[in-house]
Amino acid sequence: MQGAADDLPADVRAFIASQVASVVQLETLLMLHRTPERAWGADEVARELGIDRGWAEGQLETLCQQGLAVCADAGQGRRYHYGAAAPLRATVDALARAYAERRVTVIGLIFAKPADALRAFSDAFRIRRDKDNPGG
Amino acid sequence: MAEAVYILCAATSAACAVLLLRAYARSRARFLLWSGLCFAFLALNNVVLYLDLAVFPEVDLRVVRHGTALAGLVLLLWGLVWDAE
Amino acid sequence: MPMRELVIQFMLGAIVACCAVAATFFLRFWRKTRDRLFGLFSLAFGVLAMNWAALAFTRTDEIRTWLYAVRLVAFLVILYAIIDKNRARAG
Repeated sequence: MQGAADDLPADVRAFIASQVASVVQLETLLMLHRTPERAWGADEVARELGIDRGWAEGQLETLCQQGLAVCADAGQGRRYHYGAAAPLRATVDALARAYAERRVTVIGLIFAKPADALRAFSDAFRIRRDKDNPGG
Repeated sequence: MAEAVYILCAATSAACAVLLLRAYARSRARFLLWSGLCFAFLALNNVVLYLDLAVFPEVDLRVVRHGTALAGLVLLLWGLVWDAE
Repeated sequence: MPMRELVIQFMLGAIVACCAVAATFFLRFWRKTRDRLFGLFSLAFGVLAMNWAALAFTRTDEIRTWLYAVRLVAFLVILYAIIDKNRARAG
């Protein structure tokens, strides 16, 4: 069942399992990765990804805390640029390649994560849908 | 009385199956697929039970009955082992 | 014993074992997540295991005895788990 993902490099799979919580987070990271020389602001990221500013800001802050992005306070607010530490760089490069070539497989791995499977099972029985239900 | 029980059990199982498979469609968490299918088969199990009792009392449907339950449970176990954690 | 009966006994044994294993998994998930739903599902599958185990040892068939009450209990537990999950937002 997990066979399709087995030929992705082990470090990529481990990275996804431990560091990547959502597709949005991955898209944000890869966007920064594509333009390493550029410092982004939250609303630029939001516009680029088509999400709202608060959400983008949350993702950027998370990436910062994870050591995948570097943030700096500039005049008009925080700016973020790609900043993975040396050991992780190769993994993120491989992840970017994998996402470009095997998008569905990578997304499948994000959602196949253990804790989420149990929470997904439990959440499936919530019939009343409300906004803070992470659902899917 | 027994008929009502089996109908209730079938409905409950079917509800679980629907909830889990819908959630699987949204999130693609594979464990939901296996558990959803398990409850679908358990619903079938209760339906066959009802058929065995009320509709075809002269036919022995036990192998089919137990077959549906076993099929569902094997799928659930597969999901528990490979996709739940 | 005719082949049919042997197959049925075999299937019942397999079903009971599967239910017991499933119940054990759910028990572990309950310990891990502290989510009551898993505890209730563990209980439900435990009761289902008993249901089919009892069936393996009765000479008349389930549909002719009171055994359906055991099955009912298991599914009521599941129903309760669903209702419980939807009642309190804290769940």
